[in-house]
Amino acid sequence: MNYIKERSKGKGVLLFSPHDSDKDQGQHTITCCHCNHVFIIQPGSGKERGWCFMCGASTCGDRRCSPALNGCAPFEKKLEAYERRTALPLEGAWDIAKGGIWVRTMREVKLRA
Amino acid sequence: MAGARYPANGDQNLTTTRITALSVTDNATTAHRGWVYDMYFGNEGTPADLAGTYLVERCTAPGTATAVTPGKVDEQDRAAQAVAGENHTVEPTYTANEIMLEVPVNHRGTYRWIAPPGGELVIPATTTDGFGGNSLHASATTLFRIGMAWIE
Repeated sequence: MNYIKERSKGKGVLLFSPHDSDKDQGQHTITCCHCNHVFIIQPGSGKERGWCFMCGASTCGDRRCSPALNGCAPFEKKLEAYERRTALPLEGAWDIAKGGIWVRTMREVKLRA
Repeated sequence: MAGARYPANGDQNLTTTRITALSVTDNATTAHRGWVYDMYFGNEGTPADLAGTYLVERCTAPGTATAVTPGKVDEQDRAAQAVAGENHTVEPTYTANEIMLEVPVNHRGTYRWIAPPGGELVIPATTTDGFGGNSLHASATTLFRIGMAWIE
């Protein structure tokens, strides 16, 4: 399989060069659109991943990233909240990215100030 | 993605506790975003047929390390604003539960991760924030090496 070519379809590549073979092996990876974590695709592993119809991209399967449980919280929004220092640490930016739990988060910020 | 590209790599001896070979972070004064799009992992010397796990984690401070000067893919670009360090004596301040990439490796192999366009690991525009790559092993003490390439 041409792993590099597959990159154009939104998949990353984890290439493995064994010491006892001249053939590279590869696995596809996907970057979660909600938390930026990279996970390796393992067909048959039984691990449940997700899909966000708002982002049009895969999620890692973590409950925090589940569009069904927590709605769409794009990583970009999470990052912006963190950079504005309205959420500490980066995990706290989830509340802001989701929208609707501002009060709790802002109270935390005041407590930290 | 437009921007200047920079590579850096670092090494460290494996120990029984998790120890960092390379950190790439924003510098302490100028906040800017960075996008890590390529990483590689491997061992140096004559590693035994052992396995370990390499982690790439978010950090909020780079710890204490030997400075690495990032290279420039295009010599016409300015020097990198991000700072890189290797052979850490004080670990970076890692953020809990922010393991961005976990790669189980055989020490005799070389692994390389390449991000898809738009799927890069993002360094927030916050001073001293970034990523660190680390590993550990119960018995091996060989040098392991991690390299990262990023856009800023």
